[in-house]
Amino acid sequence: MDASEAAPARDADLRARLAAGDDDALGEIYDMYAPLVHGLARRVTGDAEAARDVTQEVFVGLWERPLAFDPERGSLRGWLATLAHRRAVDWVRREARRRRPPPEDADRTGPGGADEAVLAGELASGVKRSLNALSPPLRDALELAYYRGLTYREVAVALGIPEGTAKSRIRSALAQLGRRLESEGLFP
Amino acid sequence: MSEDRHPAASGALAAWALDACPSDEATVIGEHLSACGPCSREAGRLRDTAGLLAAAVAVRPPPRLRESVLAAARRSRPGTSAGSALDAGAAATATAGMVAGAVAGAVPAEDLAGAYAEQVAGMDRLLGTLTAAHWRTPVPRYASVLDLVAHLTGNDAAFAADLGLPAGRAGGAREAWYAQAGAVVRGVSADARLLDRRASLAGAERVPASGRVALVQRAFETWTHADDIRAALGRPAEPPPGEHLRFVVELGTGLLPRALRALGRHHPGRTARLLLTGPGAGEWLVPLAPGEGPGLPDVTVIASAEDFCRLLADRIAPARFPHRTEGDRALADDLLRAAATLGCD
Repeated sequence: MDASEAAPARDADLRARLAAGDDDALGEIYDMYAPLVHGLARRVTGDAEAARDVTQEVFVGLWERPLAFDPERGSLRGWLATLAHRRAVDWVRREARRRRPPPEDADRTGPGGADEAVLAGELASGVKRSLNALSPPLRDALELAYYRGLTYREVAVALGIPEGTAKSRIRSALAQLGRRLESEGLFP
Repeated sequence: MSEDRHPAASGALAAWALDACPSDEATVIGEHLSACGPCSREAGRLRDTAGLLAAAVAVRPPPRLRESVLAAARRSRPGTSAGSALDAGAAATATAGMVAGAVAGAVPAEDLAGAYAEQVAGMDRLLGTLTAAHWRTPVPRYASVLDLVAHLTGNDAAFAADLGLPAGRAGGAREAWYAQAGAVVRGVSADARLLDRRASLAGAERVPASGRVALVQRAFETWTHADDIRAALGRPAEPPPGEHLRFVVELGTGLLPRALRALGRHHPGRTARLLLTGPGAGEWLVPLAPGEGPGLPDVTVIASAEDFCRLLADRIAPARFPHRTEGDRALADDLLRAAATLGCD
């Protein structure tokens, strides 16, 4: 399909431009992916300031080390989401160590609850559909792990299930989600 | 534990892809992934799925964030912006500029240019943090950081001249170095064909080499000297990404047969196998005399790719180089001694 073939080539081209010091390329990437990076950071941290910091760290990090992104191993979207998630999770775990529980607000209970302008693209609504099609036990495990930044051990405690079960629910949830997204044509 | 061996098979990899493993487990899995192709590809796929989960919660960032992010980026590594030679067209030309017989294989010129650009950016960040006292600090082989940076500028200028690129400009040590290194980055990024020109390697003998090989050496030398400065200031080393270590290993293995002969320790008809681990991992067959192709290995040397690069830089002495040998140990010793002669000052 056109779209799935164009994306890796475009990603590789953007990477080359970043490596060559072309800051216009960084602006283009920001315009494409800042909502994703910022939205994810906002969801995981539940903190507006932390979300801004994470967003800045992610894009500056990409600018400083563009070749750390390897187009052979996944998409630029996936890479930026990975960086954003990791930094957001680091923030959550640092906060947890300071014994300040992350704020609970409606924004964090699940997709669709945000009071900010949620971007309702075809992709986002397809992902939400696929997520809502998961059985509740699987969806809970996946959402706690990904959107709340819990480890599988913390997921086990939160849901009152053994650690092995938490791990296998996360695995099944991600696998089922991948298959559904594939059948919706959202995931090559 | 079996799941430490192949986390893809056990479910741990899915948790890892969501950053949901405790840090000790994540470290073990990360190490496994750097060495296991199938698990690493599966991890990439799982992370891409997770990336779509991120798309479901996208929200518009505050409008002012854009400018503050781009400004922070420019502060960390100056960009070239529109109108310069490094526009999209030039970058696309560099991307398309696949030239056979790169360092050893066919590495896109853009990747080599990028590797050097990244080292230049790293060195520039480092120099930006130095105080006046730091600049006067002695480093091994140099009276001061200032002298070392001047030496680096000289080697960059020689390379720029080989390729017909403009000279830098006079100024303070940092500005002069950055101007020269920047001229090289811009020149080779804008026209990858420059790298097909002949150049000579930095070092006493000025060994002739292709521009591509010489550019890898520039990246390698810049990294090595940045680590020299960090070590002198008591800061931790910052190894380049594995991909760049691989370029350096390619550079070194390509030069080894001649270095063996220069030491009088070449072995016609014999071959060594280098099995390097960690970031930059890979396998290289090295003929132990010039002008020969590799045969079946007579000896295998197993070591970390990063350590091997430091051996090539003569920052680890052969006698202290951590490695294992399988096969003819005397051949391995000669190989390591020759490797340590390849570093430049």
